[in-house]
Amino acid sequence: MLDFEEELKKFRPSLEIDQVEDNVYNNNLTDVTDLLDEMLKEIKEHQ
Amino acid sequence: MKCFNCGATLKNTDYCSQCGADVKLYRKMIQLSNAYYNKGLEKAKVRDLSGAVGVLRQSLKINKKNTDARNLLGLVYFELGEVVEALTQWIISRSFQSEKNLADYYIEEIQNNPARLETINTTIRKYNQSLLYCEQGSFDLAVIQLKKVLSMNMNLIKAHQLLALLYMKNENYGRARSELKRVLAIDKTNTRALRYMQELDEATGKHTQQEEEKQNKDVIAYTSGNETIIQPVGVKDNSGLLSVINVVIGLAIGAAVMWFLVMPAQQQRTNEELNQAVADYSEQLDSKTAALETLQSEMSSLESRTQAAEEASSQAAEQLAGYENLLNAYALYAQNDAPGALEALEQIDRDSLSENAGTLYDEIFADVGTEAVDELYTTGYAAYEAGDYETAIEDLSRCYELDNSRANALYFLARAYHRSGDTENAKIYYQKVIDEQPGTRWATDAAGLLAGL
Repeated sequence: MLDFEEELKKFRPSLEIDQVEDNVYNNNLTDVTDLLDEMLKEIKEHQ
Repeated sequence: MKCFNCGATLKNTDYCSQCGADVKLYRKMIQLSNAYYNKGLEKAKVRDLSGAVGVLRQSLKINKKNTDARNLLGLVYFELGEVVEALTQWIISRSFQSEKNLADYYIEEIQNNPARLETINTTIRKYNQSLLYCEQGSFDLAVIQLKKVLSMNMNLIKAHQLLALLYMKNENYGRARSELKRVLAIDKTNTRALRYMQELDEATGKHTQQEEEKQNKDVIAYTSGNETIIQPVGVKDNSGLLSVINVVIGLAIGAAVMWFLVMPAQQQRTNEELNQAVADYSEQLDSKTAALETLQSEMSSLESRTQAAEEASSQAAEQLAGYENLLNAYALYAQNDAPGALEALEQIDRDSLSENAGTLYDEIFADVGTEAVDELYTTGYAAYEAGDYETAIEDLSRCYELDNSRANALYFLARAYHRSGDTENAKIYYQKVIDEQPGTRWATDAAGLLAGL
């Protein structure tokens, strides 16, 4: 059975338009390519 | 494809020709990212937007510079009503690829329409306000606010979901289902909407399921060629009987239509005609009654006039008779027949005579009266003495009538009654003598005689 109070907590306020910039900067853009690059650098350093 | 290490354009080798970096794994990752993008594109095309978001996020986790995937992710967010997330993705995309990027077009489309941008911002604020209302327990206000939000931005999935949740809390399952259907029309695999729908089915579907099971028990389904035939259990083919029943029902409906629609109208028309006829007759009756009353009043007037004429005629006849009697009295008076003249005068109504005739009447009556009274007394007394009491009574009573001051006439009248044996009248007249002539000898004698009776 649905718990209304718990479900309600899952709804978060939306960001407003003027918060787009903050959202862009706070976005974690790290991807697998970055991890690969880092790994390769570490391998080179060990060699 | 460019080398992740030096940025040089890679060829079909596993090593970068410029820096010598091993790009075999990198190439695999780029391919994987693109594969995810393709998958995301397929999902977006069939409106599996939630699935598309997941896959495109995977694509960007592998390769953050996959601008196609990022642009598509932004577009999907925009379709879901998440404008801020969409703008974020497009701005990041433009930072990775500043030229020939579709994100530029999207951003410009939004920025070049300030009214649209303001509307979007307003819907976001109102949505946040409705969330605040929910936290405060003002669910009715939240519902009103969410309806406003959705009237401005129909694609805001979160608002639909929250509204559906509020409807479900109020057990308004029909509206909740409607909101969830709108969500699923935009995003077919929206997890939250599907979960809510499942809850709705559990809350409302038990009864429906039981009905379906019951229905299933009542029917038999079988396939004949390419057709699936569903036949109720226990129902025989009674098409002939059904036709007859249908005809009977049709006739009944026709009769009902006649009875409830046609007959009342006809009845009403007949009633109106009857009412009109009654009104006409009433008018005629009124006019006849008025004429009758006029005639009756005329008749009563004529009757009164006739009566007046008759009265006048009678009066004239009386007058005429009075004058004739007056002439007759005068003639008798001229012949010295005083009693005859007096008798004739007595038949005349003095008031009916004219002034001159009245004067004549008075003169004759004055002469004749005294003479007649004397004569009547004389004859009456003579008859008394002679023992003719009948004549004596007649003349003396007449004499007393003409002149009631004659005590002797009254006394001998009593005596005549006494001697004739009429003691009753004798007593009456003796008493009159005593009463009217007190202190006279007539009274003394009368008293003595009365005592002797």
